Amino acid sequence: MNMDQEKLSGMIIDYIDGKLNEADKQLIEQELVKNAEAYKLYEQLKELIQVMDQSKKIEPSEKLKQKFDAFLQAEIDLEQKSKTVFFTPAWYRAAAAVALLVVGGGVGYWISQQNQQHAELLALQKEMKETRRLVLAQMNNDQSASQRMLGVMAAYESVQTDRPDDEIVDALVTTMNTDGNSNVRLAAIEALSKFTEEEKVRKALVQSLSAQKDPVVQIALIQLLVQMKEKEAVKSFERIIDDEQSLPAVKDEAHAGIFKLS
Amino acid sequence: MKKQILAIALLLVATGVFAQEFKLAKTSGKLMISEVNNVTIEGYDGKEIVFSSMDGAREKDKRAEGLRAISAMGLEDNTGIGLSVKDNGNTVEVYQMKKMDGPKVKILVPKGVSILYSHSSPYGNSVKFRNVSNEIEISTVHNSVHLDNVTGPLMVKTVHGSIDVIFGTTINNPISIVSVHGAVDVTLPATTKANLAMSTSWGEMFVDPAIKIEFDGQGEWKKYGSNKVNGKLNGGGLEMQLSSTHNNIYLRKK
Amino acid sequence: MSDETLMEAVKNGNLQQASVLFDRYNKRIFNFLARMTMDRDLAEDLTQNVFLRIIKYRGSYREGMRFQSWIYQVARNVFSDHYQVAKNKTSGFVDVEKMSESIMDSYESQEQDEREKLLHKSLAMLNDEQRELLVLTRFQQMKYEEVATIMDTSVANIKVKVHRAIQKLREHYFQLERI
Repeated sequence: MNMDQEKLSGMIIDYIDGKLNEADKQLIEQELVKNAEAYKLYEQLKELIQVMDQSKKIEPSEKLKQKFDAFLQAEIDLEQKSKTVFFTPAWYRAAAAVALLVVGGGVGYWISQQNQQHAELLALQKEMKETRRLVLAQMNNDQSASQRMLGVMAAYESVQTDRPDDEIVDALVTTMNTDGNSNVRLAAIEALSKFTEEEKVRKALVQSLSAQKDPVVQIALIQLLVQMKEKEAVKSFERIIDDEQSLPAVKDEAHAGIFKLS
Repeated sequence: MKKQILAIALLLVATGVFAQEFKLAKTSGKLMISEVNNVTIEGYDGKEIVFSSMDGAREKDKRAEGLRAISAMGLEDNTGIGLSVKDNGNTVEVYQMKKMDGPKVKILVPKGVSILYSHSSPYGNSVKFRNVSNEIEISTVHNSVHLDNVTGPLMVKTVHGSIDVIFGTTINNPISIVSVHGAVDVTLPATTKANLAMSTSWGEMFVDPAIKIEFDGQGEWKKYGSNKVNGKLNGGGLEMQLSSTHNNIYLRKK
Repeated sequence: MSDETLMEAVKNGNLQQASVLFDRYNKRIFNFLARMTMDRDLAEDLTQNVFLRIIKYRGSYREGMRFQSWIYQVARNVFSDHYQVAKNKTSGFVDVEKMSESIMDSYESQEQDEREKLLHKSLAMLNDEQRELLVLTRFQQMKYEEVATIMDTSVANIKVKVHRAIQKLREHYFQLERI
């Protein structure tokens, strides 16, 4: 076997983790028998991985939980106060006061945090950006179609109709055109239907029709284009009717579409 | 006595009661099943994917002795039951050797393995899933799909087939069930919390009176020839989309 | 109830549910930050900060988003913000000897203790990204897919990087062992 150090150690790591398939497993086992260097590497990696796997969990101190509880209580009080003008029962306030006393230092920390209004606003903006990034990452999960579907739905929810976010819209268009799962592509089309005022989105929807091969998706797209009264789509409908590959149900939908648009 | 046992054994072999099996140790990752015509897939508590032929032992072809079965796709029958199984570590690919007919197959799948079933040829029969509590992705053109006691997430799409789903007591987000020509028939616990979107262009929708839909807005009835219902079940929760272009949708209470 | 359902509830005003999420995640987040900062007290403060942000910014949680990915993302932000504020551009400067004393409890076995010390010293010699990858995949036993989502890259890329990080760690570890 001829492979570089990096590939070899990568395979040995997978071997130790039990992640190799049968063929690669045999390949590595043979290599370990006849190559002393490789065997030494294996021994070292095995020890290292063992030390990491056996490494103990570190326990946080009691203070962590106490501080959190106090903060949570303070936050709940804040929420209640803003919701109702009625006064809260005395025991409730007393309990909160005791909680504050117990971890006085911790609460001082929270209060100083709350004063940093400006810093928080910046952090919030950053968090929103992160949210968007995570949504986009979820739409690219190549392991699970249902995760991508939820990503599309989260994207749909995260964007205001009057202020479409370019990155999100582009990602939805990409999903509509290239996702391997028809249900996910349908969800992307559904999400894009929120932005049919946008010229860019209308164009993308018309173009997508010629790229779609699955009748399920073709039909949904034709229905949306008709609902948008998109006259540009008529040519694409005619192409579908002329295409021998098209399913009769899709042709019917296209016929109906031309009738409604003209 | 001995003779009797031997006789029974011979009888069993002759009638083919001994199902043939092929096993693969897997507790996570994705099982990808392509173009298997007649299959039942069941979830179970084991640690191996178990493929078995319900036809019993295949008739021996004398001429084929010493030869191996191959197909135009370059597949090889490595299971002895007419399937080709390829283990890629995190994914397992399963193909059927014969394009038409083929074996009647049962596959037992451990709880942590998600399943992708795809089928496009017109030679299929039906696909059945039972007791599966993991993600299921199904894409067929002609096959009907039957799912019994499943939890989702569920992504099912077919062009000509009907889709029957009976959910277990819990349902996992999201659910998307789409057919062009077939009926969509779903049975779920009346307590399910969901954001429901149902649509059909030419079919009708039937809902059990025990299932209360809180409609969003006025509902877009008969808009541009399509019939859409958007609403919440029990205050809303998981995303559930049901759609049949040309056939009916049935929503039943468990 | 799933993490996501709980977080939805928090977002919709049922703040009490946050304590369930705290119970489920505080140790994991603390361990992550302790290994990243190599400082127990600091890790506790930062863990606290993570949960503060989760509650304060509950409105930015999106339905359908995996809670685990989100909270780790917040933890990473808290970690990097801390070092930016502290003007300590790299966290690479750590007093290794003091650090391993401070983050480790005493172990029953002398040998495991020694190996563990060695491990922490070698971990401290990696760059932040490599250390983070190992903390997530080996110490927190997170799947490559999960880490790929958090770090916004492909699974294949994560795999290669983790392998390289382990290889690098091996070099440091056995070099130190010989000293």
